Amino acid sequence: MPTTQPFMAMMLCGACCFSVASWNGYKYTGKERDSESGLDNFGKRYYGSSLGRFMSVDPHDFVVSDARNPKKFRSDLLDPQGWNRYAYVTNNPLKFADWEGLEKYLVVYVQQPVAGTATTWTREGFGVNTGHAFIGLKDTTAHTETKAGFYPKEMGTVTPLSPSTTGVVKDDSNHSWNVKQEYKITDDQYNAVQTSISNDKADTNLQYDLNTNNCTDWVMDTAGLAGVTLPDATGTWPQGGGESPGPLGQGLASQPGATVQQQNGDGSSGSSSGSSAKADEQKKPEDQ
Amino acid sequence: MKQLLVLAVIVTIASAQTESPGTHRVLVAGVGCGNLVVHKTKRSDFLPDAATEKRFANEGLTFTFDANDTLDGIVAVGNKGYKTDKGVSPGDKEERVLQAYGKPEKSGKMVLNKGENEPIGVIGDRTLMYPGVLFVIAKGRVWAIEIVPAS
Repeated sequence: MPTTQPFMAMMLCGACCFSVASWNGYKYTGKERDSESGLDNFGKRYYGSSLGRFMSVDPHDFVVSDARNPKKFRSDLLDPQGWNRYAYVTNNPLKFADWEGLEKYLVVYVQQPVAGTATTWTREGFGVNTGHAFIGLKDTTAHTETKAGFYPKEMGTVTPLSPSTTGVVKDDSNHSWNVKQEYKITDDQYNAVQTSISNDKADTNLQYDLNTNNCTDWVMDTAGLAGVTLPDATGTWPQGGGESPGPLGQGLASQPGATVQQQNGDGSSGSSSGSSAKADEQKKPEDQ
Repeated sequence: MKQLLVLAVIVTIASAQTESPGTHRVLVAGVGCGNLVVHKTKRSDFLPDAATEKRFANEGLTFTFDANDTLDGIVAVGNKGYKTDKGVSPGDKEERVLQAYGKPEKSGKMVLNKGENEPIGVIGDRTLMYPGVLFVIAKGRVWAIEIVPAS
């Protein structure tokens, strides 16, 4: 379906240019063309197909998606093509596509009990820390991100000796984390996850179980609604075991593009990351 | 006779190969269990994968590690034959602990947190802390024994 003007034209006949639009009536990614200006409307900015570039800079820098696998994305400041803010998908339309001009992400956050290890729990004095995992839904068009996580409804009721209780999904906007991974998702996937989280927040019959339906299970199940399969997160603890933030964090940290902090925090300061592109991305949009 | 001797050697070798590091089942305060030594043994030395971790858990042992993935704690639960070098096992009455170890250095409620400071539960009735070992008491009996570094 997609045409690849002018990239394909350049590939076929070098510098000689002729109109490939006449080959068929489709535009690459199916965007509407303004009949007067000849520009394709990508929502946030216009694309000049005859020039092979956008008419304005990309408001969301350096992020491209893999057209063959929309849930994956790549950020790479090392690619000089990525520095061209007028470029379309780093001038590589055969590999990447920018469907909307802007993007939506499922973000998985993990607070490991011991940052940088798969340990499922740690103890300091009379306090045991099991870590936490939660989900973010990021819409770069609206510059919004909502975060939510799964908890026992009645705090103080869950232990390895008594692992089950009623559960509740709560806002996790201010929760700290030390590993973050983002997955580009489609509008439909975004809406499915958003609806599911809203339903879970309203559900008074959710069951929390330390071994079989904890915060990590909820994150993995919810991510699955967006077609995102998270790495194995199985671990053990006294008299039990199951999915756990420690192993999940290790699995995510080993994936390309993960943001990893040595200490748990909100990512606003003192963080290191898997790549320089991610370090740049840590900045809030209004800071850029 | 020669065949029997060969068979005995094979059995001995096979037995040694399947022996897990915690086979000795004696928990030594501040030290460890068998050749698992707190503050010394690395995760990679004995827990190569999740399956091995699960096998230990089924045998009643779970572990914690520090930021360098060095063994930081060994926890024994259930009636799996583990006991301290002073003879206390999971399932023993609290009085047995007090008889063997005397007055605890500290005692209190062990709080289970989601993250650093979000309590979701209290583990057992109380925890008795001694140098290098602590006992979690639930319903008057030892539910868990944790071996930790002595310092």
